[in-house]
Amino acid sequence: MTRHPKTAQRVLAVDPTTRGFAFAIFEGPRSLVGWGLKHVSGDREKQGILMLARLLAQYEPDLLVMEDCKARGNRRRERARRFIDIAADFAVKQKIPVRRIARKRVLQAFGEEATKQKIAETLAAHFPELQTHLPKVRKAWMSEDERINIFDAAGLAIAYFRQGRRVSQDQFFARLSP
Amino acid sequence: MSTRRLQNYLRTHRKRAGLSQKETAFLLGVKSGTKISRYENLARIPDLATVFALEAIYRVPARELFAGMFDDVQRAVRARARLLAKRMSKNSSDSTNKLDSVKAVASGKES
Repeated sequence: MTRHPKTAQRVLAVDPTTRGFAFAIFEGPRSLVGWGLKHVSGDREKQGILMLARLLAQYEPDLLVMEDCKARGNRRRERARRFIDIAADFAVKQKIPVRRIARKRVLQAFGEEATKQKIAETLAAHFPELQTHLPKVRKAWMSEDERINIFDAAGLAIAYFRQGRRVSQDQFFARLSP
Repeated sequence: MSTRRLQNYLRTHRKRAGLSQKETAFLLGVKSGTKISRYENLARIPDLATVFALEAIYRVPARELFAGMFDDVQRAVRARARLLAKRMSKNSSDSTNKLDSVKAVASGKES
């Protein structure tokens, strides 16, 4: 039977895309309650923050998780970095704590050999509701499918939940399975 | 840690089922998906028949579909049960059996 935990930490993870942002909301590491893409037009920063405000009001998260663009080796472009900073400031003003996770930590959570595609496949295996969003393996000449950002956002949240847990990667993911 | 569950998880379960608002509206026998959107955004509370229909569609009990709402109602009922138990214990004419069942409601014990 589906049960929504009474005391789980609700975490919203956001990852900027070229047309807006992707998001994933977890109640503890085992329960994915929301996911998707938000598209914005016009003033993308302003519209993006408005969309984020709606999500914060709707899901009332305990924590906002985003990528740490200041981490060494980060390759996010200027617009994404700016959006992450503005979104973090906005969340803090709404009294929602923000945690920034370096890409390296996400890769560590899924295994050093992990790629975006492998992370997406792992997540889709544990959360079947994401399977319809799983893009096909990208060829060298193809541009990246926007839906991969949903998995990037979910990966950030999972990396956050995995932090500080002294369990192996296999044990952690085994516990995610229903 | 969050102490409050979301008022409802209708959107979560609809998306898990892979249904659109329009398709859910069809299953519920209503004309448009707007009504589903209103239920999901707490702009409208569904009637009892609709709640049962949603339970049948998503195959999730109503108390989990409307988890936050259920918690609020349960909290209020427990508070009233504590009050009633207090009143009943003062009134000696009430049977112990009755008092026990009210106390069970107050403490949230499953029968």
